[in-house]
Amino acid sequence: MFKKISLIACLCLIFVTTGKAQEGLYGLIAQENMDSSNIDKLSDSDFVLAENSQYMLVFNDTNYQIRVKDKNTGFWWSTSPSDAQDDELAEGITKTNMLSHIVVNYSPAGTETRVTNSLAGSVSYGNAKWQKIKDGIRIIYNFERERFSVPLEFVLEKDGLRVSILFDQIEEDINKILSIDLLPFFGAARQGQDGYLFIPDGSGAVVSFENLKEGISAAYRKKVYGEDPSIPVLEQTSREQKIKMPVFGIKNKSSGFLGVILEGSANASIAAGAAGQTSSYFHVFSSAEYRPSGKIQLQAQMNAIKEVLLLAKTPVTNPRYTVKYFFLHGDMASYVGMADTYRQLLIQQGLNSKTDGNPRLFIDFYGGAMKQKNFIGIPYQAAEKFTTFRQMQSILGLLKENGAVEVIAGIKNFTDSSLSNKPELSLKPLRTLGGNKDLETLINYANSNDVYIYPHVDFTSFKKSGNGISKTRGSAYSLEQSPAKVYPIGIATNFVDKSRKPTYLVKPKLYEKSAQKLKNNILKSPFENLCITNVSSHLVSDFARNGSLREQSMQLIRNSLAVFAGEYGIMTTSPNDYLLGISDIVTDLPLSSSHHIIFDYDVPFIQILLKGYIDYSGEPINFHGMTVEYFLRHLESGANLKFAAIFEDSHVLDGTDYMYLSGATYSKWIGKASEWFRECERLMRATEKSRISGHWTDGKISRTEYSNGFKVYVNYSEADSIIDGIVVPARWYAVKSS
Amino acid sequence: MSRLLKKIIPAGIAFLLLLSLPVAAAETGKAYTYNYRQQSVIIPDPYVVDEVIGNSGLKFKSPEDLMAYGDELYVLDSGNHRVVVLNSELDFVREIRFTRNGKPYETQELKGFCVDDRGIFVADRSGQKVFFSDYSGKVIKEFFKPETPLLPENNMFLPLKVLTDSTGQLYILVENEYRGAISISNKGEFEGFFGSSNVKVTAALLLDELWRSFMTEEQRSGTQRYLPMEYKNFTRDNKDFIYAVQGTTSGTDEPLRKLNSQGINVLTGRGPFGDPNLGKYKGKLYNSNFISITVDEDEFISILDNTWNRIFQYNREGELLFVFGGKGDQKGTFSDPVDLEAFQGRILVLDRYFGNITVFEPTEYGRNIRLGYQLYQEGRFQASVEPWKKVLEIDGSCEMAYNSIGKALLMEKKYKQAMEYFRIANSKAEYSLAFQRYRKFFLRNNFTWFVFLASIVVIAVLIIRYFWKRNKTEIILDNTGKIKYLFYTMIHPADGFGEIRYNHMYSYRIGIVLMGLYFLFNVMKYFLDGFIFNNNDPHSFNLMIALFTTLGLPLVFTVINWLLSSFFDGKGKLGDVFIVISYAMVPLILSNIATLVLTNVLIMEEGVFIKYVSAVGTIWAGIMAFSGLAETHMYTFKRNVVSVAASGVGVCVILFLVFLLFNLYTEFARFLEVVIKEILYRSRAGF
Repeated sequence: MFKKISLIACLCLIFVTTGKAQEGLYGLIAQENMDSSNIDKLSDSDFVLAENSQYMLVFNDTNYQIRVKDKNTGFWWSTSPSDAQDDELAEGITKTNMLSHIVVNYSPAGTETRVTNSLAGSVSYGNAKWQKIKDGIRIIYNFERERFSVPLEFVLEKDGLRVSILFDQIEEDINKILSIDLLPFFGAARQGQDGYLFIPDGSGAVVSFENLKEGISAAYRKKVYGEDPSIPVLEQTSREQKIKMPVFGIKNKSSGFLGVILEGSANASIAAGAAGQTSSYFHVFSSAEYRPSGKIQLQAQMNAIKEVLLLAKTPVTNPRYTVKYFFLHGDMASYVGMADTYRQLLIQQGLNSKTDGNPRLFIDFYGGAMKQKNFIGIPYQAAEKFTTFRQMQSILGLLKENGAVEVIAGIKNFTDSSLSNKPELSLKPLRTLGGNKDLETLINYANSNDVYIYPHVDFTSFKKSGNGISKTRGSAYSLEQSPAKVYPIGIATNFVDKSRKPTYLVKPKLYEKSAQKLKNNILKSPFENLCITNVSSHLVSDFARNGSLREQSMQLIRNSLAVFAGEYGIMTTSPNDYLLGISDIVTDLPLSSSHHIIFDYDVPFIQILLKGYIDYSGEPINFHGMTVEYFLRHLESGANLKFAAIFEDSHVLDGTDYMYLSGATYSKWIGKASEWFRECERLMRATEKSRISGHWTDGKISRTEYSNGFKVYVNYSEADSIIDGIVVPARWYAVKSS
Repeated sequence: MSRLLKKIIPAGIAFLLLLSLPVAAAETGKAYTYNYRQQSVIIPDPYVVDEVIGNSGLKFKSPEDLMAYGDELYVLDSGNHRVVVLNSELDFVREIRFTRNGKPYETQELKGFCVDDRGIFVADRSGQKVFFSDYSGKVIKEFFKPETPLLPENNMFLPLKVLTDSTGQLYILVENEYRGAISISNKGEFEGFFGSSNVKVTAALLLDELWRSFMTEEQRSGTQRYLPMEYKNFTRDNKDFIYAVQGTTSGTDEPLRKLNSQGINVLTGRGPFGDPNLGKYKGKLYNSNFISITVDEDEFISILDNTWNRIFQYNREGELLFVFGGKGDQKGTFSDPVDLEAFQGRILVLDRYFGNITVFEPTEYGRNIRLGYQLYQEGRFQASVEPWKKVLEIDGSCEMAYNSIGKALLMEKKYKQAMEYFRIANSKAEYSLAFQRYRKFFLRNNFTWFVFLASIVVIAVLIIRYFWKRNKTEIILDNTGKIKYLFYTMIHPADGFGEIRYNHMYSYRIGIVLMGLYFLFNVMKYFLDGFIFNNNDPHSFNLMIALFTTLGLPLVFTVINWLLSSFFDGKGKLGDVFIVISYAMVPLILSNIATLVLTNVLIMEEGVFIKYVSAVGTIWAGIMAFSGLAETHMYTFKRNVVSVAASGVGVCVILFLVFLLFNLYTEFARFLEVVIKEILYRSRAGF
């Protein structure tokens, strides 16, 4: 009897609480639109919400379209194309996506994903509410059927429009929101107009409005700062460049905008579509991840595997997801102008000029690797030497003889920790490479010969526990609540190879402590600089109970590098933009995009942004087959050259993880390198500390203009060509001084 | 497992994989090749995308086939029922729409076509016909299912691909036709099947066909008697060789065939054809699937695979150069590639789903590899050195480059250097040749030294014999005389084992040392056998397996034999059996030593001696063990045979059990892992 009563009581309790939850949800709907009678109107349903000397923000309360007029050009920026209704290509949900502010990806009970948008799910049922706020508008999209609501804010500012999704005011019930595409068709344009989409993939890429992409169903969508290594990929067919900056843009005739994700960039994606694909419009936008999720595999039957979606327990922690649209016009309406605009923003956040304009040659020396050897038939693991410290010195000497003035020499794989894949918390040189003594000789040589030694250090990933960091307690957790394991992916199989040892990721919350420990351990070593690898280009979530999501990890990484700032010169490899302020020099910058099928050509956006502020190099040329094309990319984008170097012949690599160094033996590339870096130095001397003030390319020929008037023309095609009256030889370059 | 053991057990084959995390370097390109160990190795891009055409204005709809003819490229735009002609710059020239008697000609499912100097042949699958039109699209002739008892009436005629040769012969690939291509003369008559070497139109075949027509469906399905291969696509070079691919590359020895006019495969290269070990993923087994083929003007063969959308390029002998392409939405990868065509030095790939053509151009690296192979094939080894050296400058792992340069060095009589190059390239036959010359040269130059050494050895032997006979050495080395008995048993196994048992002249210590030596020499042989005869991969040495095969098996045999002795009234104790088995290792150890030396001084052709030596060792050891066991257990010959045979069976049973237990254990571990994973997932997802 007692049991029954308590059961009924429990049921009542559940009933009441769920009722409360529903009340909360629908409480929003009860909110009335505010009295709109005192707002200026352009027409019956067009309200002027805000206006300043440059722009005017207009809202239409029937179709919820928001438009901004750029008074400089008279151009109207609109959240959906005005002739969207007539699109003969768009079908199904695309038709309503085009007229929506948000497209929501959600998951009912964590099993599958579904999509809805603000028009189909909210506005068309009359469930969207709006109210005027200072200089803008707040819209609350209630999705009654899906049982969640998403508030948005649009605020007009003096240099553009700020749009936020109010994450902390999202309400949801059984359906869990995964991600929200924000303003998917803002500024969308049809074919033929003079303009393009700018996409920050790799160095940057452009989708021209001239070329349709008919029949290609694959749209572009990629996470800012790369995928989260804590959500391991199980299969990967292609290798791609990452997005290093949370920006995107559109140029349309003499107008343009640069979208910058100000809040929530760590969990954002950038997506784009071209006319002819699923609609007749070119469009680029960002997407906010609200709740991280990943696929895991469960064994369904003996040989059948079921993939299910696993959601993070909590949504992301940033209260808002904010995109600022900077409107540009005239000359600024170009990717060069976009880079200028973004640079201004970074300068406000601490980027300052650190270059002296001198040309530099970058080298990465590889010390050695573990390899199985045998002694009269008895096998054992030992270090295989690739380059000893003495050999590094002799290679440096040779480079100097061949005309290199200043050399930035990275040294990798020279400590016991790095060879045995433990977290690197000290930099004790291996005795087989010459030990402390030879290393000091090398550094002394460097100090008196304009060579700067940067030991590579990675204190954020490991394969073997050690140095106080263990797999179970020291590593970031995956969504499955176990240490995240990153397995290598086979070249031919495209799948993870679980027969190999996985890489573990250090908990981001331990970064600062590790950095501190590293700093203490290298106090007495002769190094003055550090090259931070891996953590510079990877952003890790830790889904453990007391973990950190990517947004927090970003701050943790910055804090950990701040430990070295001021005392060590810091070089970062292929850094994400939030590390530019702390870097004195950067390396391994991408010089191309991923060549997505909708891209028309690549642009050196990152390099335009950095030139004249921080010195940079590309990836080692000998990893790119030593091609002239890749060399010319450096000249186009003002990058210093970089080579990977080992002393020994390439068959010492057999049986190690470093087969990709098969073109790194110094004697093979030094001849061509000498020839090339002399060309590069000549250019660098002419441009000095200038910025890149103009850039044009059609994918075959490019022109780079510097602020001191110097111009570089690069011709990638097989035939000589004439541009601006200058003959540019085939597969070579030409210059023009002011 | 101890830390030491972990260090000794190899970390696995390392370099065939990309580290997806810290190595930014490996992210360049997606081209690879296979080394001699059949491991994939990353290489610089041999081809790069020049442009992708077709998505702006041309409006292809499900295109199916490409064909280069003269300076023009023909595209079979099936979805639009037309043929599009592009010029050498790949700009639109004209389109061909098919007509008959001035009216549009109805087509259904155009799958393949062929353009020659007479016009265009097109295969219409659902239309069940092949038709022929002139260049303007006027349909002149139709070919329906040939009337022959070889093609049963109730079977549909579903043509997929067509091809003509220089004599005007027409070949048609038909769906579900395993007997090769249907061959039709230029007069339009059915002439039989082409390309299936063991199926010819004979009276017997006709009879068989007739016989089959009486069978029920069920019976027929049980008598798939001549199913050599079903070709998926074919092409022709300018010498009228026909190259055909067969789809899946697994389970067939000839996924690629180069057929002469008699339909006989003349390809000699070993591939690999397709990716040799793609493995299993999500319960699905992956295999390369060759669906299209093209041969360029330099006779390199490129094949399209639609499992991972890759292009495999081979030389004219069928040796793999490299693999590129892939699945995805980057330029240079494909969604649903259906055909490829060599066109003016470039390779074009047609994507049905994206409706576009990707144009690949060789890089300098790719050109050098191709040039190197070409010169090599022509026997111009010295001339091939230059391109190969350029290849090695950027890719120091190219085996073919080392092989070719080695050949050039061999011709320059630089044997020692040539051997080094052949060793890196793992070219055993070539190495053997170089070694033979080197050995001859070495022996001739050092003849006096050999005479000198030989005389020293002879003198040393004589001195040792002298002292041995005077029992001096014996006293030092073998004060108990047990070692002497060991050697005695080798020559007189029956007597020897009897005597040592009777006189207690055996020693477990000697037995253990012998087993240890046997293990040691086996491991040494694994690593130190001469290159020519050593097929072991030093990186995949497994201590456990080595221990088991050298020590495990004899010890298991020992125990089993002892256990079974009670059934056969054997008298031997466990220790006695161990002594017999371990003493019987001596001939094996001796033959191991001998072969270890021989493999390092003999050349390939002399390899038969090594086989003799190890055979002698094995037989000798067998005789020793056999007669020793008989003596120990006091068996009759017959009983001994039965006992040994039973022990052999026993060993097999034990092995099977071990295997079973091991499997069960891993299966159980996996089961536990899955259960835990599922529980965690359910608790997270909340249902």
